Order: sequence, then structure tokens, then C-alpha cells
Amino acid sequence: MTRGSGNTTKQPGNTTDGRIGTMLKSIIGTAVVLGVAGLGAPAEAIAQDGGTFAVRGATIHTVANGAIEDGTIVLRGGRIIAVGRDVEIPADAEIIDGQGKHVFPGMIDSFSSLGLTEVGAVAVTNDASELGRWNPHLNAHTAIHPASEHIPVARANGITHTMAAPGGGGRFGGGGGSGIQGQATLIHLDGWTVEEMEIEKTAAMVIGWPTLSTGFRAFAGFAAPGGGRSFRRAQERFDEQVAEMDAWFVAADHYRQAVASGSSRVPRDIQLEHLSRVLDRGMKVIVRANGWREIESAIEFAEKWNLDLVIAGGNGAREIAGTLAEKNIPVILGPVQRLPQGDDTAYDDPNTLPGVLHDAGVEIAFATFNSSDSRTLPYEAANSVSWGLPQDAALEAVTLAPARVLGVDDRLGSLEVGKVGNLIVTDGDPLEITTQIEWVFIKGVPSDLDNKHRSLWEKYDSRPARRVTTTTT
Amino acid sequence: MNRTALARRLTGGVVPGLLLASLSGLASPASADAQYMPSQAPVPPPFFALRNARIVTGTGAVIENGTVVIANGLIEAVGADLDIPGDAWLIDVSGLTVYPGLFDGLSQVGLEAQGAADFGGVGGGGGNPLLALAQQPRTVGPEDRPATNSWVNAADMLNSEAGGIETWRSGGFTNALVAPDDGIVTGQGVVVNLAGDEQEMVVKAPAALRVTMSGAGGFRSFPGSLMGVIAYIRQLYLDADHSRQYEARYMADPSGQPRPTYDRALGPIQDAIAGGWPTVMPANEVRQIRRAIKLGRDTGGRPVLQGAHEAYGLADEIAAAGVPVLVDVDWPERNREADPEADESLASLKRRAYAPTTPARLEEAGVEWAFYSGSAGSPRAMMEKVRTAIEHGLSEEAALEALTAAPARIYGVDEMLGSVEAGKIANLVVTDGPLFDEDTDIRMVFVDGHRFEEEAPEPRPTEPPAADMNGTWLLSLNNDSQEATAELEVSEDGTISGLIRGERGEQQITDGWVSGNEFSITATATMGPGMEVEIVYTGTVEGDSIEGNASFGGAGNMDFRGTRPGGGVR
Amino acid sequence: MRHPTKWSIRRVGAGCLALGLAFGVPGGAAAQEQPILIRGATILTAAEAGRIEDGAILFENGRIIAVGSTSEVEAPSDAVVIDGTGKFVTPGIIDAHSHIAADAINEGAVSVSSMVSIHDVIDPTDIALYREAAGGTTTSHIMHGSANPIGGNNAVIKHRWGEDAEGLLFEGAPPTIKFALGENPKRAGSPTLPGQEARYPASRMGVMDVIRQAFIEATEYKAEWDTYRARVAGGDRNAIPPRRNLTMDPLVEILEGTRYVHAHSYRADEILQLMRVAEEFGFRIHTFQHVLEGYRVADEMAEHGAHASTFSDWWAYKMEAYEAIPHNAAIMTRRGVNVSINSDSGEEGRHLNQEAAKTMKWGGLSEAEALATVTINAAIQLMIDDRVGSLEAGKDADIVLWENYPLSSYARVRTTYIDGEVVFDIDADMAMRAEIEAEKAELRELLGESDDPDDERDPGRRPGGGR
Repeated sequence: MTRGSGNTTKQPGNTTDGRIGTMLKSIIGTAVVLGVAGLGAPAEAIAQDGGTFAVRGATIHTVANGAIEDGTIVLRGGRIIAVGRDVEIPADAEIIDGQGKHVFPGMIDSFSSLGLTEVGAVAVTNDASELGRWNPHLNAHTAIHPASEHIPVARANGITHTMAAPGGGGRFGGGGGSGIQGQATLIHLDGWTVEEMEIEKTAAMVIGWPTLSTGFRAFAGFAAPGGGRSFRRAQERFDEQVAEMDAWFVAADHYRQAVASGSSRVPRDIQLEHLSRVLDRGMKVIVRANGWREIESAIEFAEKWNLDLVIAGGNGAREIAGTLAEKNIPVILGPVQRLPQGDDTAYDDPNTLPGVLHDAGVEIAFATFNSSDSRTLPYEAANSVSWGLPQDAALEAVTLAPARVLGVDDRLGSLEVGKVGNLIVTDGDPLEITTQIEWVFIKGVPSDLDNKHRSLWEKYDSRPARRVTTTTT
Repeated sequence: MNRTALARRLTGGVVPGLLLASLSGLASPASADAQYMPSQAPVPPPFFALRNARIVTGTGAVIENGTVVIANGLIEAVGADLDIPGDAWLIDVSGLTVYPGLFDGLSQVGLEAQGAADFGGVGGGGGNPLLALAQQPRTVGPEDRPATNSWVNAADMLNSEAGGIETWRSGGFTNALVAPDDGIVTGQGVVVNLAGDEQEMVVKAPAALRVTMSGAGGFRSFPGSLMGVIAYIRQLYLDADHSRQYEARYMADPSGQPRPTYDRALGPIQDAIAGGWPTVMPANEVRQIRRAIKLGRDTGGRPVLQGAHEAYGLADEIAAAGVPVLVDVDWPERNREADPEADESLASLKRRAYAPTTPARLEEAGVEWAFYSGSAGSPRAMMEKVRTAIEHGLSEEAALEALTAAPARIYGVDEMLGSVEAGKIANLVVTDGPLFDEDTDIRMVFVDGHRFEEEAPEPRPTEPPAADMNGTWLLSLNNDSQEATAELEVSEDGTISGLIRGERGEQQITDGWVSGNEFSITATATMGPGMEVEIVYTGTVEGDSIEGNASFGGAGNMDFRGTRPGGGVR
Repeated sequence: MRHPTKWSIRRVGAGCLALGLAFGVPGGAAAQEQPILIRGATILTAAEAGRIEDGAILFENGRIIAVGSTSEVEAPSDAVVIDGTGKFVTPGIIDAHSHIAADAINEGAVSVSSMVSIHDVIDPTDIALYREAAGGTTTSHIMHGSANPIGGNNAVIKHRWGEDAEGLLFEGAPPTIKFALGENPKRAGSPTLPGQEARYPASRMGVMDVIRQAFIEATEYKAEWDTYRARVAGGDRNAIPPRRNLTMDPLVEILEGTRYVHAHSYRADEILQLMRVAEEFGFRIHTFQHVLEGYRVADEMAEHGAHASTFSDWWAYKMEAYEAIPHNAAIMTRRGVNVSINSDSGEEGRHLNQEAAKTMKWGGLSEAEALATVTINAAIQLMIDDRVGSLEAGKDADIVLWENYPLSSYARVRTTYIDGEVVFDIDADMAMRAEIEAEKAELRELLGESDDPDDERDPGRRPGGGR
């Protein structure tokens, strides 16, 4: 057992044929864009010439169909072409010895600002948020920076794809106020250009729901109430903001009808054009909301407009878990590693929430709502397991469940024949901190595990020992 | 004839309900240029005898049928069987009770509003606190004496015409410790009588030093934080001590020594240490109480805890520390504007439930303690809150002491004030029943032996309501387009209760009636930290509309109109 | 074997302790009543004994009596015996950089704020004390903020939930002070408002200058006092003591080696420069905090004798953190620097065990080395390693019993002991929730608010309940 023993493999690739390394550089150039923006067609044309790879003799955690001991998985043309115990490995396949290794689907960070921000405190490096509150026409893909240092860092820990979303950012998942923040893009965490990275150019419309907040604490303090607003005022403000949101949807509905009528005198309105696409479940709508009343309000709104609703955040979802389950509304959960609200709230309230939702039948997925911390996604899931979330469900909530939530489970999220070859080869459970990720395959080819951190480590780890000039006695 | 008698004659004497008008501006000394003019109001000889009184002396003794003789502002005699001097004007107070005048342990009554510009440091200035802060000079170290107003003496800030004086006196309060409010060291507190001109008002000056531990200047000015304030106070006391030593040494032998630097902040601190002035420090929560006790110990100041809402659990510790306490009667209340879904914490519930038991606990533990009004904006509100403490186990005797003899002892004026005893200042309150009964009215107040007769309260109009005022009203107050909503509930007898929500917060309705189509609503509003104002709305009601005038504690008036969109809903 | 009766007594005790604090009423300093023996557990000692399979630990009167294999450690007859089979035991976690439980953190208007102390503003009612104990943290270094090149004085506390401010203080912990370098003290994140004077310094040059100037002044101040003391010693009765300057006093202590510098730092250049300034005045930088580029000057730090207290994997949140790498702890460790992992946050302080585990993943520290980063190494940095930080006979009984392997994302604490007393326990916590609810209901009734419809929770809105 080498886990955590310090026996770290610096160069996961160095145990196999060096050809893979060479290929790495060539294949990316020839890879064909996966999926076509807006069409939502089942992805078919991916890397046609990406080569053939097989991981042999590993424990293969398919997520969809349990685990296969001493199994083999074969990737060709960017896809999984075989998974099982008795699998014929094509002659031209690069073979990775999976003895003692584990294969999992690549993990998905269901809501991140990867590619949209570089240095949190340096405003000019942030592109996750735009001015104004009504930006349905903006799309994250127009700002995703494929060369962001954050992407290889996340990838090296097994995050193979993410929904990069506007309105996010901030280390603790803050950012974004009430309003329509724009369209999120589902990307692979590898590619020379955003076009090579895209899975769904438009994965969802992101909406920040108004918050019902008085801004002051509920207890009797010693100071006169100040700074906050009365609950009545907060409720009024909330209602006004929901009404404002509604007015946009009314306008979008009207616009759609006007355009559909064939009238030639309708001026093109890019905002309404994009917003109208979410009507009648034409696009996922991800509503950021935490309190149960906000979630409830969002559900009511979504029913009125027949929206394909996903809740993101959901800290207070426990209170209406039954409703969420009954109405099949999934929840993208924020960090489990956050503080409970209120002095009397149980210390483990964030830890127990995922299990409670799971038990109630709510579809859950984890997300970091972050960029630099995206690599910690698996630990957020693991942090719920000792508090009631079944191990399988935790793994699923960073693989297949988010694929379902985002409507790409036909292509991603599990190790099944025909799916995109996004997988990771590890020395153990990827939700465990000490586990090493040895291979990351994205679109069926090995991805470079080098990154800013690794190279700085290697560089400074090999700094020659400083010649200490001591004046000895 | 002494100066004050002259002044009284010149101004027309003391008329009940009318304040002494200062002759020539604020606190003028005996004015040489005052010209003789015959009095324009009668000035009776200053001798009275209250006969057939029930006398609660405040020393423990109760005289069921006695006499109090007052002469020249002092109590000349008290007893059951007294020879009444022939010069005394007999006042038969059969059925009434004489108590010592009440003493508010910490107040702002009678003080001119303190302009921030007049004094260094942080604080002051109503309105936008951020703006006020930005206008303050920036201080970057203890040497700048940030927000240190130790030389400011409340006696120099008195305004005998200030509106609150009469209100409080009518409510039975003859005395208060008034202290400036601005800064970390706000200045010197003074025991005042609540009548007379600015000089007559002063009983003892200075009687206390006041420290607020507030006024932190954030990232802009030192001290920016609570720990900075504490560190600064420590340094201030060290500097005062060092400067005292150095000046003494210098005066003894100045040759060849650098001369001491003049620092107006230090003298009063030195006096406070040397004179053992009570140093009022805010301390509501347990940890604040312990910090104040420790800071007192560390600096050589003599702390008096102000607030003490969580002292119920610490009474023995406070007693052991020998620290006196001023208990804020303004008990913590539930924030009615809070989100109904927000879970009030156990700590908050505890505090609300138990803060009013603090007086009883302190009493049991033998702590020296007194009440103060805090942000209770009126004597009526204050007595209401004292009653709450009595309901929570405080004896009426102890409550009386905490409003009379105890504050007198804390501020070192117990030889002069605090009980009905011969030789003391004739500050009395005469009631028509037990002091703490809700229905008791105050009939007479004596301050410095001057009688202020309180009219029996005007009976509330008894005409049955001609309109149903129940429901939610939208009010607009017309001078600066303020808006408010009022939720009124009217009972069978026409009594109005409920809430008024203004843009600056909530006003609790304390009294109100509707009679015929006229109504009056009295509400208490918090205008700023520790500042409550009584607002009286009077007007007429017609169907779903009302109009009238709102009076802001004598500080101004506004017209208002209102409608009831939802109609009368019961 | 678990003894249910005795166990439940301790459990109630813990509940009361926590409840007491919630009321803001001081809890009594309850001494450990009975000896406790945990046996059959895997013990990670953070001491020379390393990992003990099937181990036992006995503690009594707040001190560890014995640590060893289950067969070696005998229980006194009155001991409460806890079956640790399948469980793990570690020393209480020590957080070398925290900002919980304080009513103030930054004295920010001045460049040198050494006159202030966290000791004056400890808030013992901060629920973070309990929540972190529920994650195994038993001792924390409560630090002044990073607004000034020379900041305020810090406090070392134990998470004795229920004690008052004085009772939280770690008795005898040597005094420490905060310094800060880089973006925060030069106020890069806080642009000057119109009409507001800028605060010097605004560059890393100025930061070093402020520190150097302060020590020039402190040296002079010290000389003034030394002269005075010499005159008094020489019988001069006319000597006037110099003015006590509370800003200078701590700096003199630094010069005299009785107060220890913990310097917030990010970039390698500023780390190096501060060591040189300190050397110029003859003192040592005791510990660099954050020190995210420590990996670049680890040899220099080791040579100077500085310790390092860093984050596990935070990076890129500000410019000076852009070159931070999670291997930082490992590189510095390998080059002879004593390294701890800290939280800097009331959230992170609840799972420092997991943060320590990351040093195994990134850079390959061993289990023992990783555990040391949140136990004995932090104790060494705070100079309290004679009392806490490892499981050895004679040390304080600050002990964590884990449900499972602690250096793991699945780790969960069962019981946390401080001075042998339970400050957190899974079962006691559950019991306490009910007690708090009952207490609240009673109080609402007392306040006449129990029939208030506002306080009634909709029965339909329950976990899993539809609405």
C-alpha cells in the first residue's frame, strides 16, 4: 500500500510508452470540436484520429453499472469502445497497465468560474461578471481563457469537465446578484481553443434569484436597529425584484410570439432573443438560490414559465426537500465546507444536507462555484459521506449526476460504451485526499498533467542546496 | 438678596410649568448690567410645610402621617409631630405620599447638543455617521489624543431651557447625572437638579468621568478597533501619571530640564485618579463587564459599569470586585422588524428573558447599583421598565433606593440628596399613591425647595369613537416627503395601540386614544443610538383618511395625512 | 468496552458546558472527574512512538498518564473505559493562525499597532470555538490582522468552550506579535478614498522601512529605560522614569527575545528581506505565516531559524498568492523548516486534519509528517510543545477520538477532549440540540411569546417533507 507514503509519482506518464507523450501534442491539434453549439446533437464527431488506448487489469468503477474487478477499458476515436472483464484489446492500442489501479469517470465541477478568472483580487483578470443585471445574451464561452493556469491545476486532480458560468467567482461562491447573469458553457478541461473545449456552448441560463434578507440579525441587540431593513421592506423588495424578473419573461414571451408571427417589423432584440430560448423548457435554467423561500419562489416562477429548472446553491434546500424531489428539480450544491448559519444551527448542518436531499430523492450534484479551488471538488463530496450520503451517491454526484443535471448523460458521466472518453486512472478513491491521479483522459486521449504547481514544485524542489557561509569557530 | 433670588424676581419667579428664563444668555454670571425691574410674577417666601403626608423617607422609615418642613431650598425638618414654623405656607397633602426626588443615574437631559466640530476626535454629529467620521481629524496615535474630551465639563453644556428638563421633572425626577456623549473619553459628568438656571442646576461638578470605549475610527483613524480603544485608554492613564510625576519634578527644579508639554486631556484624568471619580464605562455583556472591571484595575480608574444587562449571571463577581453598576432600564427587546423565519438564538432569548432580573440579582449580591434611563425616552417609559424589574423579583424598596439614595452614593452626593431627611436639599416628589403603581400620578415636585405643581392629568376625552381606526394606515409627513405606515389597533374604550414604521425605524405606540373623530397617539422613536424621542400625533379621522400634526418631543412639528388603503379591518 | 452509565454522565456534562456558554454565563472550570482509558484504537501520537496499532491511552486530571499498546496500558478501577476499536486517536489539533473568538482583529489606521492586544478582546461566546473543537481543534493562535507592517499582540487559547475569556487563555504560552508584509500592509486592496490621506507605506520598500524605523525607535526607547534603571540602581533618587510607551514595549520585548514575531508574508523577496532586517537588529523572525512562496527561500529560512505556517492549497486569490503551490509545506519540510498548516478561517479551522492530509498528496509527506503539521509542529511554533501537540505521558490531555482515519476527506470526530474534559462529543451534541430547543421553548413561554405564530414552524416544512 503506497497511499500517502510519500511515494509520489511525479510523472504519471513515465511508466508507459513515451509515444503517448508525443501523441499528446499531436492529437490536440487534430481533435475535432465536440458537439456543435446550439444544436445539442448527440456528440458524434470527436477526435477521429486520437488513437487507441486501453487500461488493462484495473478496477473499473463505471458508476452506471457498478465496479469491474480486473477489468479493461478501451478508448478509440475519443470514445469508450469497450468496458469489461474480458475485453479484446485492439492491436494498435497503447496499453496502460492498470494493475492495482482504479478507473473512474472524469469528474465534473457543475458550476465553476474556470477560465473566467485568474487572480481573485485583481479586477482586471476577472471576466465572470458583467455590469448590469440583465444579461441573458452573454455567454461564458466568449470569455473562457483556455490558457488559464487554473485549468491544468483542476485537471491534474481529475476534474475533466466543468460548467463555466457567469456570475460566479469569489472564493466562497459569492458573486452575482439578483438578475440574469448569462449563459454557462460546458467545457472539457483540455483544448487549445475554447472551441476544442466546448461540450455545450450554451449549457444553461444562469439566474441569480433575489434574496429575502433584512440585513440584520434577528436577536435583540444593544444598539438601535440600524443598517438593515425591516422584514416587511425586505419582502417588498424581494417581491419587486421577482416582478422585475417576471417582466423580462413576459417581454421574452411576447418577443418570441412576435418573431414567430413572421412580422417583418419586429426589431431584433438580442437580450429577449436569448432569453426566449429558455421558455417551454428550451434550455436549462440554473437559478442560484439558497434560502427555502427563495427556492420556493423560483420553483413557482419556473412553473409559471415552464422552465427546465435547476437550483444552484441550495443551502436551505433541506426545508423543502420533499418538494424538490416531487417536482424533479435537481440541486447543484455549494461547498460542504462552509459554516452553518446561525449560532444554534448544528455544527454539521452543511455536512448532513447532501445526505438528507439524497434520501428524500432529490438529484444532487456538487460544485465549487470557484476556479482556483475547483480541484477540491471531490473532497466536498467526501465530506458528506460520514454524515449520511452513501459513498456511491457521493461519487455519482461528481460524475453521472451532474451529467444528468446538465442533460449530457448520454455522453458523459459514466464508463459505458459509446460515451466520451473522459476518465481518470488513480491509485485509489478519487474522493480521498491522498489519492494520486495518475492519468487523465479527456476526449479519449491522455491529458497533460503538468501544471503551474507541478512545474514550480519540480523547479524549486531541485534548487541546489544553498551554500551556507558560516563563520565557524 | 442673593443672586438667584434677584434673578427670580427679575424674571418673574417660578411659575409652575414654566421654566426659568435666563436673563442674558447661557449661564451668565451674576450680571452687573442687569437693571432692576419689578417682578412680573409673584414670588412667595421660600417656606413650606407639607402636612398630613405619608412620608417614605428613603432611609427605610415610613411616617404614616407626618410633616416635611422646607426652608430656603433645604429640608428643615421631617417628622410625625413637628412644630410648624409660622413663616411656612401650609400645604395639606392628605392622602398623598412624599418621596425623595428621583435621580436618573445617567442622562443627557438639559445638555446642549454637542457639536462634533467643537471637540476633537470621533463621534458627534447626527445624520450620516460615515460623513461625520470623514470630517473628523485623522488621528494616528495615542499622542493625538483621539476622541478625548476629558476637559469637557457637562456643567458648561447645560441649557436650563432644554425641553427634557420639565418632562423629567414632571415625572418625578429631580436629579440626574448628566455627562457628555462624544468620544472615547466624553468628559466630566455632573449631578444636576432638574430646575433652576444653569448655575443653580449644578449640585456637584465634576461628579464623574465618562468613557465609552466606542468611537473606533476603522481603518482611517487611530484607534480603529475596540482593542485600539482599550490600548489607548491604558496609554492615556499612563501618560497622565507620567506627566504628573514629571511636572512635579520639573516645578521643583526646572533648570536644565525640557519643560512639560501642555496637554489639556491629561489634567482631568489626573484629577479623576487622585479624586477617585467614578468612571462610567459601558458594559452590557458578560465579557464587556469583565473587561471594564479589568481596565479599571489596570488603569487606576474607578469603574462604574453602565448597562449591565447580562450582569444577572455575574452579580457575585461584581460584588467581589466592589464595582458599582448603573443598570439600563431599557431592557433588550425582540426586534420586531426581524425576519419571522430567522431563528432567534438561545443567547438572545436568554438575554431578553433574564436582563430584567439583573436588578434583583445585584440587590441580592449586595452590589451598589442604580437605575438609569438609557434610551427610555420619558419618565413614564422609564417607570414602566422599572416595574418590569419589580415583576422580575426586585423589591419596591430596592427599586426606590436605586432611583434615589444609590445614585446619590455612587456620585458622592448622598449627604445632600437621596432621602427625605433634615438638612438635605429639598428635592421631593409627591404622589397620589404608591410610586410604582401604574395608576399613580405625580401631584407635586419640589426642587431646591421650589414647588412645581403638576396638574392632575387631563382626563382623556370620553366620547365614544366616531370612527373605527383599526387597520393599516399609510402616513405621509409633509416637510421632507417622509413616509410611514401605522398599524393601529383600537380597543373598546378607544385606546389605541400598535406600531408606526417610519423610514428610520419603528416607533412603538405607548399611548393613544380616539374620541369622537379626534385622536391622539403617542409613540416612542429611536432617532439614533441611545436617543429616543416621544412623538405625539394628534388629528382627526374621517372614514379612511386622517390628518393632523405630529410633534417631535418639542423639537419640531410636521403635518401629516394618511389613508387606509385596506379599509378598516379588524 | 463502553461503560454506558459513566459515559452518559460525561455526556451530560459536556452538554451543560456548551449550553452554559450559549447563555453567556461563565461555565465553571470543571476538572476531569474520572480517569479515562481509550483502548483498541489506532493511535497516531505525533511523537517518537509514531503510529500505535491496537493502542491505548490513559488520562487523568487533565494529563496523559500513559500511551502504548492496549496490552501495556492498565486502567485504574475507577476509569471510564472507551472502546476505540476501529477508531483513531490523535493529539488535539493546533491551529497556528486563527481569527476566531475575538471582538476585533485589525487596528488598521496606523502602520505600527503594537500597542493593541487580542488579549483585550477575546470573545468566549464565539460558537466557532465549539465548531472547531467538533473538528478536533483544541488550541488556536488568535492573531491580529495583517493591516500593518507591525501589528498587534496575539493570544494563544484553548477551545475550552464555556470558559470566560481569561479561562480560554493558554497558561504560560510565550507572548507573540503579528507582523505583516506585502499587499495587505501596503493597503493595495484598500485604495485611498477621496479626501483621505494615504497611509504610509504603499510599497514593499516602505513596509521594510516602517519596520526598520520602529526598531530604531525601540532601540532608543530601550536605551532610555536602561539609562533610567542604571541611574536608579546607582542610587539616583531624582531619576524620573521615561514615559511608558505601549507601542514600544512589545518591540523591546522582541529585542530582548521574550516576544516572538509571527510575520504574515507571501512573496519570497519579502520573506528574505524581513529576515535581514531582523538580523540587523539582532532578533529572529520566529514564524512566517502563510509564507506561500517559502518554497523559494526555504534554505534561507532554515538558516535563519524561522518556522513556517502555511495554507494547504489556497492560491490565486490575490496577486501575491498566484505562485503559491500546495507542495510548499513539503518543500520547506524537506529543507529543514518546521512547517505547520493553519486555517486563517473559522471554517478551515474545522478540518485542519484534511488540510494536513493534502501535504501527503502534494509533495509526499509521510503520515507522521503530515499529522505533525497540525499538531506538534504548530506547538513548537507557539512554544507550547512541552504541554501539547503530541500524545505523551505528562502532556495535557488534549485528545481527539476519530470515527475513522483522520488524514482523510471522510474523517469525522467522535469526541474531543481538552484537559481531559469532553468539549465535543457526537452523542452529547445530539442531546444538546434537543436541550437547546427545549430551553428556547421555555424561554419563549417565559417571555409570553410561545403562542406567537411567527415562531411556529410549518410542520410541512421538514427535512424530506413536501411543501
